[in-house]
Amino acid sequence: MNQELPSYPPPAKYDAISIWRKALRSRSFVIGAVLALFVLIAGVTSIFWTPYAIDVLDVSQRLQPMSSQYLFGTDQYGRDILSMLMAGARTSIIVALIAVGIGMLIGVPLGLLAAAQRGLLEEMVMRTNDLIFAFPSLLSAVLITSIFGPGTINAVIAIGIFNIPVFARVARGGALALSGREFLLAARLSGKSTFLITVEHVIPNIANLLIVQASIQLSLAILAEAGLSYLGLGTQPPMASWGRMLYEAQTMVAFAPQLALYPGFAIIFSVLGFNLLGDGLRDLLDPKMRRRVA
Amino acid sequence: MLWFAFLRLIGLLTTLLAASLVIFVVLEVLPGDPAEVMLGLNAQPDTLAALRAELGLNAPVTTRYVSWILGMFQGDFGISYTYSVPVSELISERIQVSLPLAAGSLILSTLIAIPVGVYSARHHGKIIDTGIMSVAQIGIAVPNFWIAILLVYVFAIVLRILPSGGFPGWDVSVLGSLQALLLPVVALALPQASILARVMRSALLDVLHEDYIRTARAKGLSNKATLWRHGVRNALIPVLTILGLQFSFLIAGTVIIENLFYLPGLGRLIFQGITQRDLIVVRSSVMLLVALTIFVTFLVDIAYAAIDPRLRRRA
Amino acid sequence: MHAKSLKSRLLGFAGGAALAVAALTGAHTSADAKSSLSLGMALEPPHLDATAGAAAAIDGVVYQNIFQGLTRIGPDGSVLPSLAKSWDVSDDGLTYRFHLQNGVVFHDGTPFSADDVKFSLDRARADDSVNAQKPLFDGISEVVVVDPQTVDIKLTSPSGNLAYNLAWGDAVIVSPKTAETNKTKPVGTGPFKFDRWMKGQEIRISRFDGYWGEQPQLDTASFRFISDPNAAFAAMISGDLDAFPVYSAPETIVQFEADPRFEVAIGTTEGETILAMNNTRGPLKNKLVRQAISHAINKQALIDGAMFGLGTPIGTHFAPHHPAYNDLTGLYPYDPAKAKELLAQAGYAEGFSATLKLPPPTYARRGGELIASDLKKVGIDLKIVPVEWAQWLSEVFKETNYDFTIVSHVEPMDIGIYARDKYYFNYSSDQFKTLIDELNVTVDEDKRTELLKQAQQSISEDAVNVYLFQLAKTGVWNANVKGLWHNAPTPANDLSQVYWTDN
Repeated sequence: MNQELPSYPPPAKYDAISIWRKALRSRSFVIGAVLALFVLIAGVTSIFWTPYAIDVLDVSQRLQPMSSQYLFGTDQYGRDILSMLMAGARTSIIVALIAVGIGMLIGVPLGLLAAAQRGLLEEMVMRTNDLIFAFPSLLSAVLITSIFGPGTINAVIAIGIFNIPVFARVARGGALALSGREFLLAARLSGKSTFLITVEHVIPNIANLLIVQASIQLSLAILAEAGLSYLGLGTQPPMASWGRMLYEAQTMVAFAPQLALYPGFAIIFSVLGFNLLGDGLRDLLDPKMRRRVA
Repeated sequence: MLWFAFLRLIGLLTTLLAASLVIFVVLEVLPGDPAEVMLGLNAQPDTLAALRAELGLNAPVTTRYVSWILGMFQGDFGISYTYSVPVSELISERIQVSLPLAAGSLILSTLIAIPVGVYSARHHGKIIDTGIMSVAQIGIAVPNFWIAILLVYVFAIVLRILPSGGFPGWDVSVLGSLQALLLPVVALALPQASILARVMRSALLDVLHEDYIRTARAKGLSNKATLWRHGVRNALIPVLTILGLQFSFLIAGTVIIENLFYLPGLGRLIFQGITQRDLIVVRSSVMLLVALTIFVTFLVDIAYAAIDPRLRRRA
Repeated sequence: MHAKSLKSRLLGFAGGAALAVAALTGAHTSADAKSSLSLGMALEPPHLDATAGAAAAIDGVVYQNIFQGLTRIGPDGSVLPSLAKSWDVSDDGLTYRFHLQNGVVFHDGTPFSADDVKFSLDRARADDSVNAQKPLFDGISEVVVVDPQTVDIKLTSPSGNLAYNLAWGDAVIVSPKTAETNKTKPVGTGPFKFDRWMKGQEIRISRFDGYWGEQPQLDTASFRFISDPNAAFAAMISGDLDAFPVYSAPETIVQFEADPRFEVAIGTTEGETILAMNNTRGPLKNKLVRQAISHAINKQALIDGAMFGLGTPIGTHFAPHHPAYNDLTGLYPYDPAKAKELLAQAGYAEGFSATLKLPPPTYARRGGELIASDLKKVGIDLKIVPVEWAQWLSEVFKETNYDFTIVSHVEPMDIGIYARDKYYFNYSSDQFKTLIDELNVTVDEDKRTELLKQAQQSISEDAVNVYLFQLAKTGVWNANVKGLWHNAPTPANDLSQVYWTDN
């Protein structure tokens, strides 16, 4: 899913103002950015403030309907659902950002190294990549979290590991695509080291590819976190998670369907947000791909 | 081409071996003793020791790894700790559920995605195209287990026309088994179909801009005929590639879906095996799924190289 | 491929698929024939040899359906005759003579005799026995075959428990011919014989025509294994299952009660659900801290919140339906202020942090969240760590590497565990040990009751654990199904008396 083949970025620098103009005209980018920002703000706010505390349960207030007191009602333990959703946004964002961060920080250098030092090293990096790809990601995340214990940190690690080969592939592909370009040859002739060339010329030129991939991986990471938490292997109470909320709501779907609907919508919103953002960014940063995207 | 295939085959075998080592080591670290799980709270130490010896848990690690690998080559996967039956028997039972589930959702998603993608591409830029692609965009964002919960609620709890889960077995009732797989297949297929429809559309749009399409038009072929004869056929190549890549995601997706519908499939076998510390079952089932994924990736690579010779140099 | 053919094929596929879907949904029927029963169980048994495993799920399938013992436990917990139609005790109390039923055959056609009894009991007591409840047979010195219909069991010392012990699923009689294969193909003397086992899904049994007793009314039955409460709910409410005798989603009981298609039976179990505390760890060494925690937890809110009201508050480690129960629920009323005061007295005015390890059952996972919330209010921060049973057994039960855990002790009459050294809550009280020693040699019923009440008082005053509630047995089944057990004196799904009334 979403293993986009590397495309060929133009080396030219962009003009910031014209990008912004284009950005605001791109429907995908605007909608995606608004949704992603909304989730981000909800998550960040929940660190300082939620309407009610989510770790203090009040059974006497359980399953309240929507009201001015509880905007989205309460769950089976009397927790305010709005507060739970906000805290769930925090979990999703944190897990996704760190997991994708792990993937980028390890995967990109590996991919660049593979592209710069072709031969045995490249072979090793790419075979390790294949090895990780060979494990169906969610299945392995289930294995990892059962072995090291369920919890947010282990979920982050489990999801992060599977982001490494993705970024390694994108970075290597992007770097290889640049290899014949004149400006790289010029830099090499001027006596710059491979490392310097990579830092000064390759990375800036594949940055757009990486940004696009990152937003796609963020949405995948949010889905993965929800899946793990649904299985009870991700984030643990008292911290909230949309996947767990869905799991707990399932038996009550007949008399309290809202409990299953809200977290579902929250997941869809955020995943949609990051996907659209990715599409929008691709439109802007990589005009060659434009035609393909709605 | 043959040389390329040979190199890839060597790579495939190395990856398989490395994967088996990873699986084995990882499961060795897993806390918990299968013998304790089987005997429960009041187990006496001598009873535990007797059972451990019976299960062959006392042999050194290297011996157990080597005998596992050698056994697999002979089709002997060992005896399940908890079920006391050959693991190969368990796996073959479970495949009868997981394979139709994965294949069914692949087929269903293709059946939905191709017509929708083609339709959308033909109406490129119109409102209907934007509408379809928006729906597809949302479809990608929907977790399959959420769809499953809603499907169970509507079709099993409210309408009561389909079972909420379980699997009667092919030899007991073919119809019942098909019924049991219907909702899980739909839940797995919808998000996949959304992705495929987008790929289909963009692939077709790409193809339609190629020269040979213009040539075909110039030759006097009708729009429709050109679209189907040249456009769709050529656009199917990238679609099939994506399909191959989706396989691994489908396999992983079945873990949640099989749990939700309590289908006795491979994903749930692994999940249960982990909780019951039936590691002998877990390692062979995971190995099987990994091998399957590696093999499919290998086929996709070969097919790719066959189509596009430039790629041979790179892989 | 021609243009038209590809398109028409695709359309054909789609059309065919639509037709198939229509056919599939139309033909689904949920009601079973009246002579079969599908019954849900949360856990799948690892194998089916009741004499070689602790899993309650084994008994849930085979006990009294496939396998029978000399005696059996009835729906009300009493000990009744089974393969032994009667028994006498010698005057010195050291020899039990069992008179066996006539005309009993195993499902493979082998006739049953006293030799099988001797074989089964000797096998269970042997040195290399893998019987999970081996201590049940501790007092037996010898099993003697008198004649094919009579067997003597000799004891080392008199015991009032023999008939009860022999009624356990672990003491069922097996045939020497099939003992080794009972794990996968159980052969017993019961009213039902084993048909097939689809691993991970269900076990089917059917009526055994050669049964020695009254023929059961059901022709066939299937046990389906659904561990997920969500899936269990969906399977029951949609009518896929006829019965779920130990149903694990209490929040949905109201829906079944309101629906005339179902009968809901709330019964008792032997499960005392406790917040176990490691009595040798940090602040928990201090009795005041343990008492503070007992005051800090709102038990009724816990029953309401985690079990949706299904459960009986208890104040000690004893089943409330037992005559010797001592009602100590008033000892630690919910009082956060008092809890804080006690904590301050103990030197923990600022509270402390600890971990709470939760095994998989619903009561533990849900109860844990509520307890963490209650304790937070008095300054104790609990980190919730969910564990699987395998981990729980090794980390909590065996290595006692934990601070708090929640678990239900389902063994009947098990207050004696508080006298054991190194038992997982690490409680050690000489006074309590003396009480139990005295109890073990006391025969007089009134005196025993008195001692049992004292024992309960003693552990509650020491606040060894927080006694939360007695687990209820919540059974849900089709309103037309009759004859299932309402209570759970032993884990069993005895189907011999089950029948359907007219729909």
